[in-house]
Amino acid sequence: MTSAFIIQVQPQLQSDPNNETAALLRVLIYKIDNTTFGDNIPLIPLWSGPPHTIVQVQAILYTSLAASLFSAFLAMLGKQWLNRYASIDMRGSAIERSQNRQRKFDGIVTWYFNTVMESLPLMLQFALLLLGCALSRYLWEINTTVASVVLGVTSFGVASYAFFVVAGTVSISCPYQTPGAFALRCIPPLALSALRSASSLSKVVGWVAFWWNETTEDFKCSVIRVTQLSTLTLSLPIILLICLAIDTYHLTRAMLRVSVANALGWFLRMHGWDPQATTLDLQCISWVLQTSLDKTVLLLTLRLLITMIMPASFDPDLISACLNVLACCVSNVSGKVVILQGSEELAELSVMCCLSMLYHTTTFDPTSSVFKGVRRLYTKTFPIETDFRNTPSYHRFCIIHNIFHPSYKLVEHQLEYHTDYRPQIRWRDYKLSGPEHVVLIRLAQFEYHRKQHKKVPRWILRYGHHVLSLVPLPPVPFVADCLFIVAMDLGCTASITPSPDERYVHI
Amino acid sequence: MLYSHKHDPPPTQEDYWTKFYDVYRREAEEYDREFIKRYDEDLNTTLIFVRVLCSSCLRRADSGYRPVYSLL
Repeated sequence: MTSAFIIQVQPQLQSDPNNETAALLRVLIYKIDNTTFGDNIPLIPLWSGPPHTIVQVQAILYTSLAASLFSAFLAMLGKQWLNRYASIDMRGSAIERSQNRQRKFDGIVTWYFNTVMESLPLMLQFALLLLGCALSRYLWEINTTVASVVLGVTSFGVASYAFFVVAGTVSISCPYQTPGAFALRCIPPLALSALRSASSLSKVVGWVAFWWNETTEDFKCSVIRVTQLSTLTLSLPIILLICLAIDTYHLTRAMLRVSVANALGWFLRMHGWDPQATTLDLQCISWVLQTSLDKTVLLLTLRLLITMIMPASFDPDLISACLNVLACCVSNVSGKVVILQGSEELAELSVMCCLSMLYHTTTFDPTSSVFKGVRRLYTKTFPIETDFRNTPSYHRFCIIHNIFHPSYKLVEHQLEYHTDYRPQIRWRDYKLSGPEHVVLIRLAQFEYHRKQHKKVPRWILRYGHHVLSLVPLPPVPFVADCLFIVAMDLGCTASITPSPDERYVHI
Repeated sequence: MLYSHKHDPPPTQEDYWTKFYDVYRREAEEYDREFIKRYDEDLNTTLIFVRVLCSSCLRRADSGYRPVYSLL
């Protein structure tokens, strides 16, 4: 369609030989018989380049054609990429293949594959819009009535698309979703955070004033522009360029991020630290937790996660995935937490995982940005006034709650737990079951500070001694935390946040 | 059956990992099938649209058929 129209308009870019022949004939007739044209003396017309309008129309049409062809090209490439993703391009055990698949899937997330795929139809839509504009511009010169019909249809299309975008932005449940709506929905949080990060009020005021001046100026200009159709149609390729620029920006950012990560990984490997295998395992676990709804699968995964030695930094998605699992097996009835029937084990395990990972993060990086994202998720399920009584993992819930809501009164709950719990424990018969050490080290810290830096409670210290005297020695995190408890009792307050080397590598 | 079950060694960490990756592969296959199908259909739609955009030109060259817009 585009190409047909271009072929139609194309000859007008060159001088028409027929016109020239006619003019010459006229001159010939005039030479033979002077009376035919009266007083009009025919002249040989000089070709002074194609008309301005035709050049504009051609430029827009070719942009449209190029955009549609380019999106076809990208679509072809996209099919190839999808095939490559689907293929098992590796021999090896099931574990290696699965890890390879996870690597490819992570690549899809890091390189914004989805965004690029979504922007393909967008380019085609712009190509169509450009075609409509070029048609109406071309027809305007020939016949205003026909042109207004085409213009009307085009603007109706634009208006309905704008309606779809607005409707999709306002309501998430609206079925007319477009990529534009998705982008628009991201803007208010971004703008809010930008406003928050603005250092002083005067800066904000100055910025708003500047923006206001700009927009009023722009508004005046655009009113004039609307009256001039040609300028308006010429500004449309710019939108296409912006679309391309956004894609390029995303790709560049991803590229930078990946290259920095690669450089870091290379550096770490050079120094004998290979985080690749553990990180991949964690990514696989995180993916399963986010995707699966099967209870047995979740149980198996969480059980594995508990026994893992965590690297110093990991994907915060893992914590949110665990919290999501937890939120699925818990119902919050008017501020009182009840664990759903049949999900007790899952709830217990997910609480343990959350606690051990949160504790891990607070130990390594107390000012981590991880909490910001996870806190919103947590507060949605467990607002600050939440009652955790009658849940089996009561104390773990309390500690997690205290991490997210520092104002939550841990003292009463902890003391209650501590007096309830203490007489039942005989460490001699105690079997290591879960990450009790995480709970106990937290409690030891708390008690230590409460008693003005005197001693760790004896029963916690006894737990530490018991764990350290086990044969064979329990997993590294247990040993590390028990040594930490002992160290605290000896008065080593300085290393309250040990570095990864001290805790996991050298032990 | 029961006898052999009793004397089996308890599952080790490796057994758990193998089991986990079996489960992972099953989940991944299902997910990837959906994922690829979705984008493949999207890409097909794009290609059909492009073909519609360009097809009228080809038909005109072949059989002298004049598409609507070339009448202008």
